[in-house]
Amino acid sequence: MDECRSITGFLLREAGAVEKPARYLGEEVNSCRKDHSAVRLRCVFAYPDVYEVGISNTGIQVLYELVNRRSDALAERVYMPWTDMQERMAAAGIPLFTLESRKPVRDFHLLGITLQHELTYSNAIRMLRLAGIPVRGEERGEDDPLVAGGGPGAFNPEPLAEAFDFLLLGDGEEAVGEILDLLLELRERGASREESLRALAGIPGVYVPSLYRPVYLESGEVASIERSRGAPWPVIRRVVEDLDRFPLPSRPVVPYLEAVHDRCNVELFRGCTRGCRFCQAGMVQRPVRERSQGCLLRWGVEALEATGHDELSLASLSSTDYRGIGELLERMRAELGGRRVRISLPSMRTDRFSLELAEKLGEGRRSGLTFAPEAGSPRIRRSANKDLGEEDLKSVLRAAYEAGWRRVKLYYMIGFPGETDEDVGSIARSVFSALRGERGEKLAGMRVTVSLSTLVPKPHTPLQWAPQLGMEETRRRQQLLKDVLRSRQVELRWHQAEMSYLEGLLSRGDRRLFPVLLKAAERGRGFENWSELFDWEVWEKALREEGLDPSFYVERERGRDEVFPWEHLSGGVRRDFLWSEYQKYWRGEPTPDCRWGDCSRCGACPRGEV
Amino acid sequence: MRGRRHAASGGPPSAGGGRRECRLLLVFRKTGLLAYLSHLETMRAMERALRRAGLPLSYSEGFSPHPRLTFSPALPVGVASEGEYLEVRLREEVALQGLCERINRGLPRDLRVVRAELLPPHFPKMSRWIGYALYRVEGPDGGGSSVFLALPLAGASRGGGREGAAMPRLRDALESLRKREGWGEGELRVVRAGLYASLDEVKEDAPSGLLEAFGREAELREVSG
Repeated sequence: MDECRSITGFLLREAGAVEKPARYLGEEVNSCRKDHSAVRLRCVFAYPDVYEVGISNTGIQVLYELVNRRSDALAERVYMPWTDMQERMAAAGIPLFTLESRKPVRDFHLLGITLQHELTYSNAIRMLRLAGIPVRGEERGEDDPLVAGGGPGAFNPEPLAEAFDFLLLGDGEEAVGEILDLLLELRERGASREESLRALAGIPGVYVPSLYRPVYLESGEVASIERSRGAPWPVIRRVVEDLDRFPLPSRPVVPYLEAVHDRCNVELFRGCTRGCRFCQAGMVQRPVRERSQGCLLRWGVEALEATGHDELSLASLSSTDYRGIGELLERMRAELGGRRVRISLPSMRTDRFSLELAEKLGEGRRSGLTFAPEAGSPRIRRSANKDLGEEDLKSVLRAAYEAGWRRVKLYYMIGFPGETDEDVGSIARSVFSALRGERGEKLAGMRVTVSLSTLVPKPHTPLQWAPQLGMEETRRRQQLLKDVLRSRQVELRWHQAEMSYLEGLLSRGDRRLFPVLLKAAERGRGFENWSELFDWEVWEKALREEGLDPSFYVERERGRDEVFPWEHLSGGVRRDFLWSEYQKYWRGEPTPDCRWGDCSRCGACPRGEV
Repeated sequence: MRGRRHAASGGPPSAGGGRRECRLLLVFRKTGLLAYLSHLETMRAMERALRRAGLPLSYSEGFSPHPRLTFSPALPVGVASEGEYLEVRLREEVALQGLCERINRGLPRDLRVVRAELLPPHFPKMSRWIGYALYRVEGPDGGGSSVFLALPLAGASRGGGREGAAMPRLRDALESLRKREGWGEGELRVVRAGLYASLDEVKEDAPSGLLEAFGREAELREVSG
């Protein structure tokens, strides 16, 4: 109680001195403030980035609502304070606190940190420090919270696995209930921390890092991963088969300040079987599970009414692939007519059908169209299994122009294995051809933004064996494009080479990187995904001190039978399927989508077929 | 293309008979920690509250239609207020009874509508009638001495009004107050106690509820004089 009052007092005194004080105030519409003494288990969900990024994450909102619906538990939230606030908190001796009750995070029973992106890992560590919780799981005492992890990063959390007591792989909707039930039971009987962790490891999808220990070869590769008796092998990610059983958040928290995604989200489906060989979500979230139109309509309307938002986003990995998307849009528009609600499709395929849908949305052409051809050259696209003909892009962009669109954003990547300068140059050729009409005439007024990122091979994908570009080479290839993509109609944006490199390091890293991460978190300023705060030198120095060569993790092609640091974790897809996909990458052979073509025997369907 | 887009963005068929556009004046409080919401954040929060309440908002014409809302001039960030004004244009009249509760449902304790009045159709726009802001200033000794400070307002902000436009003037006034009261360097607590009309502008037109809200002008002149 006193602590809460002193934190409120601190905010009243200091909030005026920091940037965007609304990040720390809480009191948002639909935030849930429950009586701490009325529940037996208190959880905090943490997003290790700044408020306006974290509040846009739907996963946390889903779990937040699921926990708060229970009478025996509560959930609150915390986001990473920006550097100015961190300084003020340190000066005033204020520990990391939750938004709802303004109580210190370390006073809760369970702290769940979502790992959405490698470049937030140092923030995850810094959050533990700000909270006053020992950063190593093994150093925590009986009174410290259990620190849990989830999100895409849980599929290879090894660089920071020792910071977690446990992690959950895959979908959280069912598992969170099982975990809470078990924790309540364990508390009831006064189970020790160690006993609790052993019990948690029995829940499918739960990974307890302290039960596993990697052994390394002299060459630096993993020789094997030893496990304690009774620890599952492998830990297999969770899959919710029927998403309709789990309502989307009906009362999403409404931020005061402008969030990255300021809108209601409904998830049309989870998973994608297009089979792009670089895409981790497309592998570990298989199979495709669609929500029914009825549920989507009901939840969409409910969420809009509960928030007052004016935009409804139909989210998924490839929204235009939803069966009956046209009909769904019609019904949504009929349902929402007169409410002044914009409907948006955030991920569209590059085809005529998608363009027609965009037209239907009538969202106004000012917002522009976004497509992700990913690679410029047809050869690389074939290898990546991104099936999209060269003519498709041209004809779609031309049709878009004719229909009145004047702004197009295109996502491309460089650094595909085997990529030549010719392939890189074809990005420019694609872009320029998009700026020309049928007879080669200039499309006046058309503006194209090209967003260029660097391919980071991810665990549990066919490219997990592949080398990533070095920093020098990344900069050279970026320069190739900067040199040719000179046009007043084109704006080129690219990622800092060092940031992609660090992402790659942490993406396929092992536990030897943990001391590096601890040092970087201590010496740096965190927020590695914010280019103005990113500082590669801090990492370079820490790597040197630990005697580690980053190119070993980033730039090296792995052998077929190499033991990965994430070998004990399964994304559901069979390793030999991934290997054969990697071979097909080099041969440029397609694998059809199993929704329309034959089963590719990837192994992801829980009972053979869904 | 253009014609269709407009059709899509125009509201439901406008009322043939019975329904009349109306102007609603809301008075809301912004207190406690929510004093730290910026003007823009406050505007967004209120707009969403109106949407949640399902009010028949009237929208601007054109490319990106917005609800037609007018807010009183921006508060400096960190200054609480016991009475900010928000004028809302509605497509049809609504009953005032229970309206505040309807809008407040879901809003936190520190952001609340405390009064709702209908404005007559020809009532002047806010920038014409809004006159003074009254601030209550507590000295650094913590509530022992509080002084009222009245400042004339330059004019209401519309839509995305300039944030903190009233700030320099308030700061100057606080500094002279500090000297006059011999307060020294300590922190001053400032609350906007309310906004007041220049009565000459609105007296004849103003409904009785409004007169009540504006009725302290005499007292106000005394303070500022």
